Amino acid sequence: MPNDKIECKELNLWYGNTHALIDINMKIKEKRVTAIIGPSGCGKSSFIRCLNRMNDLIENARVSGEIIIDGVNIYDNGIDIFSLRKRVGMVFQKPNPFPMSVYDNVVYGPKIHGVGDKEELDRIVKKSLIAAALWDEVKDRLDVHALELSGGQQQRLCIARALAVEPDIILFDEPCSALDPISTSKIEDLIHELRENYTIVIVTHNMQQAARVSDYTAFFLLGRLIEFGKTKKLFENPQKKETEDYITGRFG
Amino acid sequence: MTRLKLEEQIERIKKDINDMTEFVSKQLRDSMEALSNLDKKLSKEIMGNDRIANELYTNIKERCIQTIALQQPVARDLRFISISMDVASNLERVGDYAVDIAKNVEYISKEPQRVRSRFTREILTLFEPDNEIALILEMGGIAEKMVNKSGRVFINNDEKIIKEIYELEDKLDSLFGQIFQKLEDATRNDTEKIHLALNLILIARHLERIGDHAVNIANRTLYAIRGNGEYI
Repeated sequence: MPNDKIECKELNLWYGNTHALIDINMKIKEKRVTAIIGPSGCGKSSFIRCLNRMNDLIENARVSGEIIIDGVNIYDNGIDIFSLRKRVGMVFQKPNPFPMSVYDNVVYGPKIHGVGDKEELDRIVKKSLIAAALWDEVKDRLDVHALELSGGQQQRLCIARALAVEPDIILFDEPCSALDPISTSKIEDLIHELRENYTIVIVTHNMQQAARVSDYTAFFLLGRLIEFGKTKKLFENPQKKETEDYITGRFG
Repeated sequence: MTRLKLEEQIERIKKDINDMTEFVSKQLRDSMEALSNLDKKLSKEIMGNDRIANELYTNIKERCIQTIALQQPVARDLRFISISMDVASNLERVGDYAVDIAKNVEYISKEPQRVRSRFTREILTLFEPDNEIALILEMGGIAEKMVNKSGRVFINNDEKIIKEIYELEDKLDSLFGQIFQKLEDATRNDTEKIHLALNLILIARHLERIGDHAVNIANRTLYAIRGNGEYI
């Protein structure tokens, strides 16, 4: 049984007067893929943005409760947000490489965190691009501008960029919604491989994708966690009527 | 209500299973009629009709596979569709047993005239409740009831009827035991009856197996309803 990597206790999130997350309690397993599903506006993106305190950037956002990662509440006073975000990487819906070369995209994070040695940076670039399954496609043109890559390659570059700072946890916020089916299946295969070394949380609108890539699935509705359990169980025999109605497409 | 296409396919599968249940039940009923009248023509008809049961089975299976491929059902929809394939397969086996019974009827009707006429006379005159033929016909009636009920249980998700199916199975098994005993006794001193008795015991055995298939359907239905792996 894998260890708990992240534990949410009575997590609540408000945007001004809007109560976006209500009493979320869940434990996310280490080196497993956890999918978050639910209709638009259910709080799934808000939830993963709590896990690396991205919501701090939103004015009026207020959090109560605890998120404990490796035994430490990340909302404690005195938490260094930069080192938190180094440990908890994020990949977004639309590929968002920086407007610079492939190489510079990957070394951006390590450089900020103080790595200056050229050989070390070269090693990080190669390692990260291999892990993101992009190395073979770009190894001879690392100086090419990132925006010249295809959408799928750009997304894998963003994953390589996230991996370059050696996080423990990677959050994916609908990473394939802007990609074609081939690029999507490459990212899905990649998530499956990354699972060996990282704890992964993925938000997806695509339920089949959640079923394909994840070990655990959480179903959110109107800011509440309705059901959370093993993916195969949730998709074969959900325990809550709301989950059943949502995954079978009979919602509302 | 959303997912109209998926709903439409599920309704269609239900209808096909209903049709198939009715069809194999009729095959079974006919096989009992063929036995009680030693009707060779009806036996042949049953054998010829097996093609229809096979087609119904293939169509249901094809529709289920297509629905899985195109509609990607999950949870209760997935359970219903995958179990539909199982149900159709069990019904197809029921159809096969009806054909096997028709074949046994054909063998019986090839018995020498004197054995056959005695057999016919027995059917006509010795129709008291304990006669082995009457017992076989009773088994046939129970088996048909079980098949009908199991089809309905699956289509209507009616758990209450499942208990009735289990009770009927017990009755079927006990009748089989009685018939076995009677035929054993009947052949002990009358070797001329052995061929007839073997065919009759096979028919009883086929009926008992039909009951097992009805129970299979009932158990799979429990899985479709509850999602409990124990019944898969």
